[in-house]
Amino acid sequence: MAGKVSSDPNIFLLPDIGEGLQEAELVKWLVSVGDTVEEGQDMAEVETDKALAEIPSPRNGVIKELRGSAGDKIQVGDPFVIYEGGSAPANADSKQDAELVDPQPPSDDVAADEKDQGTVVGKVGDDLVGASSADGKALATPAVRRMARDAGLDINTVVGTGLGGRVTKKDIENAAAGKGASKKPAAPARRETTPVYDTPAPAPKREVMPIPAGQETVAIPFRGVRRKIAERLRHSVNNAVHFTVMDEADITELNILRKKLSAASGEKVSPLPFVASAICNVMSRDEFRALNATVDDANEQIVQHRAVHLGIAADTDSGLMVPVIKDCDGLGVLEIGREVARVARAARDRSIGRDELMGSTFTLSNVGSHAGRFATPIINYPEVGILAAGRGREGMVVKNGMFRVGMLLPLSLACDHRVVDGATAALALAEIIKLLENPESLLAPARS
Amino acid sequence: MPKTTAYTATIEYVSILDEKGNFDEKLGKGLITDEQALDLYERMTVCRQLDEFAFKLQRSGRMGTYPQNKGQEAAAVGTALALNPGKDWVVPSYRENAALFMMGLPMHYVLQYWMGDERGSQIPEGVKMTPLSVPIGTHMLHAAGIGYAEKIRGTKNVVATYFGDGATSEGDFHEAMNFASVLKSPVIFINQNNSWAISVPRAKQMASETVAQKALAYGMPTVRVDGNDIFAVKYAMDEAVKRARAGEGPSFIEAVTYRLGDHTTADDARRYRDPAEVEAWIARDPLIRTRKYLEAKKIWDQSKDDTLQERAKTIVKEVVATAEGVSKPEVDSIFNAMYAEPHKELVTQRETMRTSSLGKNPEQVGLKSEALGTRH
Amino acid sequence: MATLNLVQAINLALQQEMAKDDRVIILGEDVGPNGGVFRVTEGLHAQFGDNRVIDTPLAESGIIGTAIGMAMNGLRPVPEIQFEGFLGPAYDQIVNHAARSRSRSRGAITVPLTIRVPVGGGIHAPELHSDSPEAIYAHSPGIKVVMPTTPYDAKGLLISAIRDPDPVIFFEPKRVYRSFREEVPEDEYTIPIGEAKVVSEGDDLTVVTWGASLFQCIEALDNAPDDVSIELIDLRTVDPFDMETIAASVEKTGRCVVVHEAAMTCGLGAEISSRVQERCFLNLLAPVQRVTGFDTLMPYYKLENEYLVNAKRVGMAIKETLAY
Repeated sequence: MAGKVSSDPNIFLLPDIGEGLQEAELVKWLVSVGDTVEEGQDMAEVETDKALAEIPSPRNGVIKELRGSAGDKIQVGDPFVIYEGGSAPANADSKQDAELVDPQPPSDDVAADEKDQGTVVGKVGDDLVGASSADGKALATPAVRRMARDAGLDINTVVGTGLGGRVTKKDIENAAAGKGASKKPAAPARRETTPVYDTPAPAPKREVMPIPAGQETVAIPFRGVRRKIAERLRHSVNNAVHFTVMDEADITELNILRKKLSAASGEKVSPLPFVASAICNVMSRDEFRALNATVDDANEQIVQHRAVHLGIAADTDSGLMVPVIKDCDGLGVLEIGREVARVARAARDRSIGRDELMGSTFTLSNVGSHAGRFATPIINYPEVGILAAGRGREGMVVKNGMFRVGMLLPLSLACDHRVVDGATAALALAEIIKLLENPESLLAPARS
Repeated sequence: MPKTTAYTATIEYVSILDEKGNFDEKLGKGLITDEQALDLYERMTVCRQLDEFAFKLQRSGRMGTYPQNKGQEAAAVGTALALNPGKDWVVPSYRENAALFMMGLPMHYVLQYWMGDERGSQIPEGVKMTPLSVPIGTHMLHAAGIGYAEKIRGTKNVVATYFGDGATSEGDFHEAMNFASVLKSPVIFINQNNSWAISVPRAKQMASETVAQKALAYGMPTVRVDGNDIFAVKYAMDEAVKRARAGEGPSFIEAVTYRLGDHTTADDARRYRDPAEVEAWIARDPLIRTRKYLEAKKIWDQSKDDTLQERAKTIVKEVVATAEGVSKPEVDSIFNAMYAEPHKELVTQRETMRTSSLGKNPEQVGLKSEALGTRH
Repeated sequence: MATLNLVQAINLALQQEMAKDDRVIILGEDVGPNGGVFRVTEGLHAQFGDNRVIDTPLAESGIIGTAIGMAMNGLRPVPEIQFEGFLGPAYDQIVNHAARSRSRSRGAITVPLTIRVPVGGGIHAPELHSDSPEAIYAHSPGIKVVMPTTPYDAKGLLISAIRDPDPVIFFEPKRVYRSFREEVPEDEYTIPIGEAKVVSEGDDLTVVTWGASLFQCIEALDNAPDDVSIELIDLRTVDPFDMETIAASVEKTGRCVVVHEAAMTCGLGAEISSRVQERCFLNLLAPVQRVTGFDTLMPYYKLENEYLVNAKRVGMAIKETLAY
């Protein structure tokens, strides 16, 4: 098409009649306002750099407005003749009307980065693919390789924490300072494909019932497991006097360590086993045993336990379930991780035994780990405490007046105030956090 | 020893129906039947109206640059009348629309092409024609090759190729004349000498007195005709076609005519042409003399002409509506038309509408491909 | 199985394809009774006659333009341009018609044409007999560019080119014409256009090349230290080139050297280098190196050997890339 076309059929824009003309001088009008014109009838004489030309009407119509007088320079693309039936804005807004028929304007919204935040519990049975290159050769940009070389490091021994296990600048810095994790370079093997990167664990499927068209409500039956869970929650709230202390743990170091463990073991290790281990460690100390207790309402007593049987609140398709890891304080981090995966999976497909759903002395919940920071969890009655982990996030870590960006894990510890006082709860949480911030200490079981 | 004559030649000039309507009964006998003459007159009239309307389309922004055929209709229809549509080929430039229509090209294709749509060049199956190509004077070589293929297949089909006086300056014109001659390709070289190549008149274009004499250099039979006379054109074309079908090789026809309009809508001939010259040629308009001929034969009158003008107007409106009514071309066609099968990189470019590589592999930066905005 | 050189392999391919498909026409200067100035079309005129093996006038544009017309009308012409330096006059017909016809007519008029052209230096010939213009045609959309080096590849690729529904320029490295022989099957076989060949496998570095330079690369590999294993890729098709094979190799080795006889600036090495950088950025252990002709004209033959890519220059690039 030779130029812009107005989206309004009553507005005729001056066309480019000569391959790249910008303007034309109006010599004279050949029609007047009010005239009825036919398609093809000459309406004006204009002069351009190339030619003296007549401009014919592109359509039948009645002239409403003629824009310009003899001698005026009219810009190509400006409204030239207005026909009856439309309203034309003043020339100042003429750009409004002159829409170029433009194919597919580029989309410029970019979805948020979805980096692996290291969720506390990944969905069990996830295919979290290829954290690092198959044949042991590091993936890194040329600039990073140069840093490694300048630092005298073999880049293949540096654990990568970037996208897809890439070795980043930070990793080199840590490795050079002797702080980062290192690994033995594996024997080189033929790489099959370009590296595939971590995808974040998808949020658990929720039963979503849309309201059918034409109705104002939808009725969802309240029975079965859902009803049972509701009753238990009611009971807990009615009896335990809930209060919650909240804080965040800097798990930057922990992430490095767990990735090293992942690589070394070939299993996926999330932060959850570390948190579980920290809980077990703290709960088995005398000064915090008050939290590793259950309330015996019938006999009006509080029973403190030696071993920590840790309940892991798991989100299943049927709702909340709490499978129990017996003697959790006797397990190392990797073992805890495996146990968590096993019971969570069994809970999800309902193959879990009744005995595995009973007997917990303390509960860890990560149900809120996909979003949100702090929470006020409901105690798994008759226990006296529950620790909820929120979503790991990047945040500022300030230490000794210096700050850096770290990975923070929000923790909310709810306790039964009939049994646990505020100071104890706060101190317990602080100890858990201290352990999480020194993750090597968690590698060995709390109780040997 | 006395000099002998190495070579002589004469070139004939043929005129049968002159601008005043005088008709040479002897030469013109049996060339064009009354029915055919009426048909040709109608076609020339429709083409003239289409041409004028196309001009207005451009001036009102509905079409891009357009080269008017005005004044050259007789050379187009007179030559095409001697050909067999669907068997004989036409290898055109751009000022013989009437011939293209006679040989099977739907009329709206021409408008579609100038409206910037390649589908206007998507010659329909069964129509033996090459599409318009912009490089001047390069298509006659294709005619030589197309003709060669007909020859070795023994079909007796011929190839008519059209070009202007300016094109005969291009090297490829001479190569085509040479190749067609040595290969004895059944080609008819139809030169529409309309006196102007944009603003350069024939006298600046060549030192040769006629264009027809250029064919002598190639040993090719050649003739000069009044290009605005459908009878003279048909006369020369019949002979050339006969020679070609008999395996005698190519011929040359110089049709002397005049470009009544500008070179294209981007040109203004008033800047460089003498109005008196234009006036003189307006009097030689093929439409005027053909009408005189038909009226002299008592097969035409004013009322018939009025009816024809109205009918032509309607036809033109339909053609314009068809051309403007086609759907927007598919973006994919840019990619899919390069090869029989687009290769891998082309497919990637087509699917992503990008060449920057990260956009083609968004996983590399941990972004979903939707995030970066794929096509559509 | 016969042991053939490049000339014989091409001749065999032409002869077999012409016997099989009578639409195949050969045309060019001196291709008839003379058998072509390199004797590549030897014997074909005697076998197939004037109508199918045509001695044309001396006019490159004319040869290609006429061949385009033949192809438009159902034949499968295989015109020969005597030396790559003479492609110039035919450039307009090649790029503005052969390469454009399908797109111009949205598939109505297509040009199944194969242009045969000897290419490259090293035969002590005058100017315009020793150039390497493949990048010019690779840059023009609508035409494919093939350059086989070995007799086996040439036969398979020429038949593919003749059968291809679109125009192909078939470059024949002239200094290889008679200098190398190998077994070439008598039977019909084709090699797909766009497929590279891994000549030798390796883990430490990838060399990508095409044309006569292949032999200089082989020589350089032979001279490389024993503890280094180098993967050598012969592209065989220059446009569209086989990026998949190159990428898979560089992902494995992390190092790449591109070798071509043509001048450096805007040679195909630049395109390959760019794509390697895009695809294999994280795998690269060293920058991609190019060993190419200089940004000069090919000198007359007294200085020819100073210009031509040799095993020493290839070896230096390999060594430096490994050391990076």
